[in-house]
Amino acid sequence: MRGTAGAAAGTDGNSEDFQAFVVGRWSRLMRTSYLLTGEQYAAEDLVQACLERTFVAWRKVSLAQDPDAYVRRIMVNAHARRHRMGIKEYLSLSGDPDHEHDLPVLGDSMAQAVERADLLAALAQLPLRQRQAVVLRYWEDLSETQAAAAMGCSVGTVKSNAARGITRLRSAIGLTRAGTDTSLPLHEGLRS
Amino acid sequence: MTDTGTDISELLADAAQGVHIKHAPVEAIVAGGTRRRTRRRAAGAAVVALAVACTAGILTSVSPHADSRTASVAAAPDATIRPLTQTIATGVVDGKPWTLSIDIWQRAANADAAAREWSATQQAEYSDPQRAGGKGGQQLLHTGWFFANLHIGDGHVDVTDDALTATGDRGVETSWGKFTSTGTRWYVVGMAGPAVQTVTCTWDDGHKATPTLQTVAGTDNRFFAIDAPTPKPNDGVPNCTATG
Repeated sequence: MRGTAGAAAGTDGNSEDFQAFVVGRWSRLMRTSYLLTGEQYAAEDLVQACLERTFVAWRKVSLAQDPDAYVRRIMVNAHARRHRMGIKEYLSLSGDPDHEHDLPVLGDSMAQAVERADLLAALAQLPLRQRQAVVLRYWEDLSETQAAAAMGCSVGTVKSNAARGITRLRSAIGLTRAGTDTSLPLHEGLRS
Repeated sequence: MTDTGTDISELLADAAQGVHIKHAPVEAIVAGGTRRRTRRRAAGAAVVALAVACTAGILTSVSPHADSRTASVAAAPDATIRPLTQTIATGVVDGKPWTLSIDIWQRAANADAAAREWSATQQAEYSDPQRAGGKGGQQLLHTGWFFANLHIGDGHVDVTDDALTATGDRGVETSWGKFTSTGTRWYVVGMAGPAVQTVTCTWDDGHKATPTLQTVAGTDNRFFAIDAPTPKPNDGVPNCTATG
């Protein structure tokens, strides 16, 4: 039986802790969610839903050895569930002029913005598990064991999905393992 | 040669900068979390409807093990799969009423039923529903799963959960915690295997309790709860064992 020894059951007393947790993690969770979903609003929606679930389980989460691992697991599960339900995450770059992610932000060069959009498009084309493995391993910088815990699968599954994922990413955006030659026409051949 | 993926890491880090970070909507998150809790309580109320439906023989079929109270989930539409919920203890602490209840997700009759039941647990607003029977619900086929819930005042806590076979026939498993963050009263909730007749819980200071074992629909295991007025000395834990 999973114990929750030493914990307080009431929710009133830990509201401030939860709020501090949300504020502290929001930025990082948003970036992870953005890479998983590929779209600003879907990312916000996923993080908010994830944190709502965290709120429900806050007593348990706050007592966990690694609350971030718990929240990551919730996020990966929620993302997978939305994917299974067919919620459209990535919206065509050319379909909606209001999309923010393909517009250069302040201080960005247009080329950099295009590069980002191309990477997001390539990520969106990866199968779900590959996308999750790549994001957890190479953005969150988790170990294979930590990524496996977040994805609820074996270390071997993480290894194979991450390896296949980065191979496909490199192929899609014209990278070689030698490095990131940004002079390559990264935006070519991605849009149908 | 190990592929460190440095190039991918750099690209992902750069791409992640493309998202617009706004202020965290803390109030909206707390409100949304509160609504989720409320929905979950409403789902618990639906158990009454389930009991009626079960009587009509629509949702469940009795296990072929005729001497067992354990039932299994038969083929049923996903929307109608709900846990069997039973209150095992109530009380008042710091002026707030509390209720401790057990949700039983029954052993599934076949792999398809396990998958549907597992899917239903994912919608039930548990804090970690993925655990319920393992991924895809494989263990629901063989064991079933329980969740212990504590409602206190307007709040709700997922106390613990586990496979219904976790104790074996003669084992006892417990979880415990404080009712409120500022209070001094503790609760203990436990599950005893089908062959256990008596459970005795002993605190570090020698304080003992012999809780009543309660049958819960959907499993041969029995559950107990203790409202423990004695503060735990020296951060000790109650040791609950089968004594008969």
